[in-house]
Amino acid sequence: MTGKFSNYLKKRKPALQELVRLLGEKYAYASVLATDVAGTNIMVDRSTTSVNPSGLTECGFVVKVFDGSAYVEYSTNEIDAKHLDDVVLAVDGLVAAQTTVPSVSVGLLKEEPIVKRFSRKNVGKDLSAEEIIALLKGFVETTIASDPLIVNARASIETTEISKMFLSKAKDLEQYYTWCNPRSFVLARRGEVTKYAYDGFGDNSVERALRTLGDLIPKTAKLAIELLDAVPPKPGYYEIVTDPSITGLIAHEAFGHGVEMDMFVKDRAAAKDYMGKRVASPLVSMKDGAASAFSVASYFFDDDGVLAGNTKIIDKGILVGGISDVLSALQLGKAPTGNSRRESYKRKAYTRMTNTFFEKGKSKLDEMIASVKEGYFIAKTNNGMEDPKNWGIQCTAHYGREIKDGKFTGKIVSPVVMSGYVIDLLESINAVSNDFDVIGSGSCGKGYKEWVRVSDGGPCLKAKVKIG
Amino acid sequence: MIKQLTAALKANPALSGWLVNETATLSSQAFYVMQKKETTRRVETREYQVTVYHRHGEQNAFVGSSSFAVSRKHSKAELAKKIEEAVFAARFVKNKAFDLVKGEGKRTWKEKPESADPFAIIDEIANAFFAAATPVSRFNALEIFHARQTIRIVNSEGVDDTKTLAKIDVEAIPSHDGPERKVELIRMFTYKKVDPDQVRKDAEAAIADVALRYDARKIENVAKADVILSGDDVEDFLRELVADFSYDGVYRKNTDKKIGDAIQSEIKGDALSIGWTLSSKADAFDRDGVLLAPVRVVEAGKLVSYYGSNQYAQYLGLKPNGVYGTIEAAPGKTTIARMKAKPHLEIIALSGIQIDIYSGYIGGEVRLAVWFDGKNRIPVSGFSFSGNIDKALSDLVLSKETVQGVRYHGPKCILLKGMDVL
Repeated sequence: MTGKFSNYLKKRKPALQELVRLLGEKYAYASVLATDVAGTNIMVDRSTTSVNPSGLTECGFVVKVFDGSAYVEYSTNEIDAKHLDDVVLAVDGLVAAQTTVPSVSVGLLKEEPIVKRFSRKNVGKDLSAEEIIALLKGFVETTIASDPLIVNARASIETTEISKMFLSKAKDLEQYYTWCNPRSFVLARRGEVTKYAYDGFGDNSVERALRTLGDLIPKTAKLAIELLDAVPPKPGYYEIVTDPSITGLIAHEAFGHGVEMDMFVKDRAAAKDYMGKRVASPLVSMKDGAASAFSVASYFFDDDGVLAGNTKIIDKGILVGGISDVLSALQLGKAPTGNSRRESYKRKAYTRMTNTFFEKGKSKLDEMIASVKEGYFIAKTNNGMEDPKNWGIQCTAHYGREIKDGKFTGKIVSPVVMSGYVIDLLESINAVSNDFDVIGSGSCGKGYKEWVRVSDGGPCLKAKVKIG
Repeated sequence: MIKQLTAALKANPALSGWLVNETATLSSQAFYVMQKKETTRRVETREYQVTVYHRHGEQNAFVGSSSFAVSRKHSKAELAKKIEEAVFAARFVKNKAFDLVKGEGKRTWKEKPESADPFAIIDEIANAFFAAATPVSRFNALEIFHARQTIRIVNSEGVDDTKTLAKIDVEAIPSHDGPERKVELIRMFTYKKVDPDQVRKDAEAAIADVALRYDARKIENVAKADVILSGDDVEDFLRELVADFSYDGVYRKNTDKKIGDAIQSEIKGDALSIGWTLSSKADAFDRDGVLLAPVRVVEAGKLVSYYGSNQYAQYLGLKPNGVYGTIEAAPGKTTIARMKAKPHLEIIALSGIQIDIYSGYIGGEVRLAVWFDGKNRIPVSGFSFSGNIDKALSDLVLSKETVQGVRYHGPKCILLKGMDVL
């Protein structure tokens, strides 16, 4: 890691400022987002090692102008001082593109002047590829040797170094930060039965992350072996206690997507009509924001140059706020919350979640489990899907541990697919633990595309859901 | 740029081989909100991924590789440094040695481009969608992505292949506002070229489906049902069935299935034949430069061939047949009309099909389905179905009618018997 803001972007800055000036002469609004994200994903398993660019690696520019009624964007990975006229021509061509469908009438983005630099470096030692490969190899070999049932183990770490610059007539922002995502995967087989377990987390210290990964892999292996005895649960309604990852998944799918306010503009979210109304048990409070927790989505400013926010969404069961990108906020007459995010410089910005979680409560986890008559402790996020207009929800956990009369029976089930009506689920929450964890190892799509890295989590919840 | 890259790679004596993937993208995009244009975008990029190979160990038994991205111009010195850093990492990668794909000179494949301006095409599609709207059903959001990509693969062994592919992706959100409530669906379409008739049909079907969701009610007194899947759900199901039979999956021991093993035990319904094919004639090679040809993976319910990349094919001592994007399956003998003659649950929209091949689980939350009880067709919503994959495969019914999409060629519908409904 270089430990500093991109030299390349620094060198390009005068040209980009000149481009904003040139476009600003023609258009009421002009901005440039410049990104330079470097990163590596090193993966080791029993048979191979790979060293590839991180999935987040990118280097490019988004030029944005207001044509008087709508916004126009041009994405390219080459802007230099000698060819600014070409960029202006490309933008002009895009503005002039004739279409027969009328435009929305969006107002002009108003920006407060701000000049600021942000930096957050990797904590601790920066390890070389040689050191990382040796450590990962050691984890994999130890894991495979630990039990004959283990047929493969995989350990990986993805490191990223993010530099972004946002320039407009009013704004001059630069940010630099690092993040890494270690991941484990173990495949176990007994006879014809094959099962797997996985885990992952995020950190801004490669050194600490690898140390933690070393502790995590044996647990992943133990779970993979346990899962050899797992069967899917019998469909039905059950009491559940969730681990923080499933709590986060519920927060994310149930209400996170539902309060992305670009969905309000499109009349795609029922939450629009529920502001100030009760939507969950009074035990539930929920937040989102790049500044609300320290995790994978903890940037300093968003992809439209709005500073990181910390938004209260549900307060003691009452829906109190939503999150927004600049364009949605403008159309709704609200202040943007710093949630404008792009999959990459090649994609449009939408309102997106960042670090989303339920706040912790006062119950003790062991007492919550002891109060379950018949149900499951549900753990490890697999995937989920939102339905913000109709408040359907589907959340899949990798496994659940059976509880009967307040005690674990030792039976394990997998996969656990929960579904139902969002309000029913949130209203059914009758205990919230005093634990708290936010896990930053996942990605989130909007619908079925536009993937961005997010974290989610919270305490453990006790609720009643449909499993099937 | 590719000349500069190859020159820098050739100048590094530590390399035993190299591979450059160049991707040039020209994409025009339009975003509509409440049937009005909100944003237009254009993307013009040229990006590279460079992989360096370094043979090492006794008798060069190992090959280390390391890849990096190049998204901007670099000086000669900067490129040399990036290559050196990649070689440094590759020295610690001890993969079993394999040979890179050998080339046969410069070759080019190209899909015939649409002659119209991309934004004119986008405009035509948007208008076709909006024309399908009714006073109570419309598209609250519509996003259209017109993309043309040219991919060039050059390696140290003489591969120099170029293909140009084009497609149009549409995400449509049909919405229906009624006196009781508002409902929506998410619909995704991919077109290789614009067929106005097909676009119109898709738009009208999306509007009809969302109106049906408005009328949908909870399913009652149905605990078990034969479930009919179509569209992406069929594609996802078939992909999952053969995912572990890649050379990569076999080498990593993801599967214990051997050639000749049954994928379907006790076939009481249709036997499966599944393979991989090219999405179009121009989609001729994979990321390593392996020339693609259709491959049959499952035949008559049995595993007949593995498939996959150059590296893992060599590890298994098999012929590389490449990494594909389009799955194909043979149709059955049952017409959809016959499939639908008996009581069944026809899935129109799921939250997302859930398949765990290791646990034998298939299911999902149903956003819209039609329940046929033998007499009436009743739109239903807000429940889930689930079942066991092995049992479903035994009784599987494939439709006689087929679809030819970009990512899937095969039966239009499949029927899974005896699924649990909750």
